[in-house]
Amino acid sequence: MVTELNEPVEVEVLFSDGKVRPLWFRWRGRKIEVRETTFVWRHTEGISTFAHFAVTDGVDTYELILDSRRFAWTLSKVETVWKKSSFT
Amino acid sequence: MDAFFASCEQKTYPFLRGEPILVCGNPVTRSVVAACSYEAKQYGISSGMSVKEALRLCPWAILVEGDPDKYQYVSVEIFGHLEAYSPLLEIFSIDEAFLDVTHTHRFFGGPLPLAERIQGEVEKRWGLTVSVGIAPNKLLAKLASGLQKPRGLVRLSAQEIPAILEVLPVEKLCGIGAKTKEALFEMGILTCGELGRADEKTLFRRFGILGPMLKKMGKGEDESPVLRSGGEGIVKSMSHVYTLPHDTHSFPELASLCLRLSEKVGRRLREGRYHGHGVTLTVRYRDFKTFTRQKTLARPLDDGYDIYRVAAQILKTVNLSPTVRLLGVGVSGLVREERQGDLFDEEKWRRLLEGMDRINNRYGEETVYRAAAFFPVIRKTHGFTEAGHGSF
Repeated sequence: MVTELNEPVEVEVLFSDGKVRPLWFRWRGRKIEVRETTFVWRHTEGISTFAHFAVTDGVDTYELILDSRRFAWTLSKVETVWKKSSFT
Repeated sequence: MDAFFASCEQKTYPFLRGEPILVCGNPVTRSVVAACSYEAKQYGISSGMSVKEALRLCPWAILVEGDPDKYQYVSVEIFGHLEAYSPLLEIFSIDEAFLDVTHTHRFFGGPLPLAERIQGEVEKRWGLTVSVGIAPNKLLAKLASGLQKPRGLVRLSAQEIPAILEVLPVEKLCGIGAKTKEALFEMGILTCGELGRADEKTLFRRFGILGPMLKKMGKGEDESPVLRSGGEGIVKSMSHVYTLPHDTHSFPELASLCLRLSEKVGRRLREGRYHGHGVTLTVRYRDFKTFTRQKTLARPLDDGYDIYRVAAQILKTVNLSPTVRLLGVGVSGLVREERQGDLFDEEKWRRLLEGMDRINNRYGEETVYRAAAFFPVIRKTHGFTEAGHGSF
C-alpha cells in the first residue's frame, strides 16, 4: 500500500563521488536505517529542483525528496509491503 | 529500453519485482495501460489497452500510477549517456533511440561489443535492461531490436535480411499499423517478401505516394538518415491529450479542457520558438471510436488562446451525443521564428504571454493560467504537469 505523506523529515546523508546517499532518516520518532537506495530521479518546478530518492529499510520503500533550493527533506510516500492489493 | 515505465517502477519498489504490473494514469479513476511488465505481458496485456480489459485478463495485476517526471529524467540521462558513443543520436520516443555508429564503432571494438557495452552500462547504472538491434538502416534496426526482448541483442547482416523479410508478417515493420495491414491483407499481401515484390503501380493506386515507400519497406530499404534530435526539421507537430476521469458530453467541460490543452501546446511552441499552421482536434468516444479533424491556417500561431479558438470551432462541429473519454489538441506545420503580424494589440498580448511564461518558468507549470481554463471537474493531477503525448 502506498501512502502519500509529504511530511518534513531529518535525513543524514553521505556526499561521495558527487552523489548524495541517504543513510538514515527520522520519521515520527523512529530512526529508519536506509539499507538500499533503489532509484534516484529529479524533477523541476520552475527554478526549483527536487531530487527523489526511493530507499528501502529492507521491508518498506520510502520516497524522500530533497528540495535543492531550500535544502529541505520531505518524506513523500511510504509503500508498505504487507497488503499488496491495496496498492490499487 | 525494455518495458521502460514498468521497469522503472520495479526498480523503485522492490516488492513489484517479478509481479505483473500495469503502469497507468490515476488508478482510482480509469485510464489505459501506458506500459506493463513482462510478467503482465504473459497474460496478453499490452500498452494502450484499457485498464478494465487488462484486469479482466489478469485480475491480480498490480496497478501503479505512472510518474512521468521519473521516466523523463531517466530517459534524458540514458540518452545523454549514449551520446558518448556517437553524436548522431535520434530520439524516437521516451524509451527508444537510433544511434548511428558508422564512424565510431571501431573505437569500441565494433558494433556488437559496443552494443554489449551499452547494455551492461545501462543495467549497472540504472538497473534497467535494454534491447539493441544492429542493422544497416533504421527500419531494420528497429525491427531487430524487437526480435528478442528483453535484453535482446540482434544483428541483421545484409546476407540474412532477404530470408528474414521473406516470411516476416508486414505488421512487424515499424510504420505499418492495423489499417495498412488490413488494406495489404485485402490485396493478398501478408509478408514483407510479398510486399517487396508487389506491383508498384497497384500499391500507388491503393496508398498514393505511400505505395512506393511501402514497397521499399518490404525490401528492407530505408534511406532516412539518423537525425540528431533537436536539429532543424525534427519537430513537425506538438500535441497534448487527456483522458477524462469520466465520460462526458458537456460542451463547457470539454471546451475548458480544450483551452487547457491548447495553452500547454502554446507554451511548448513558444519554448521552442515555433509557430504552427495547422490545429488538430482529437476526440475519442466511450466506445474508443476516434474522431480527428484538422484546420489549416493562413497565419501561424503560438498563442494558446488562438489555438483554442480554432480547436473550439472544430469542437462545435463534433457530435457530442456519444460521451467523450479523451480529448487532444495538436499543432502541426511548425515553422521557427515566424511572428504573428496582423493583431492590433499584438505587442500587448505578446508581453502578457511572456509574463505568464516567466512566472510559470520560475514557479512551475500552471502557476498562472487563463480563468476560462478552470473547470472543477478537471483537477490538477500528477500527470497534468507533464508535457508530451499520452494520457496524463
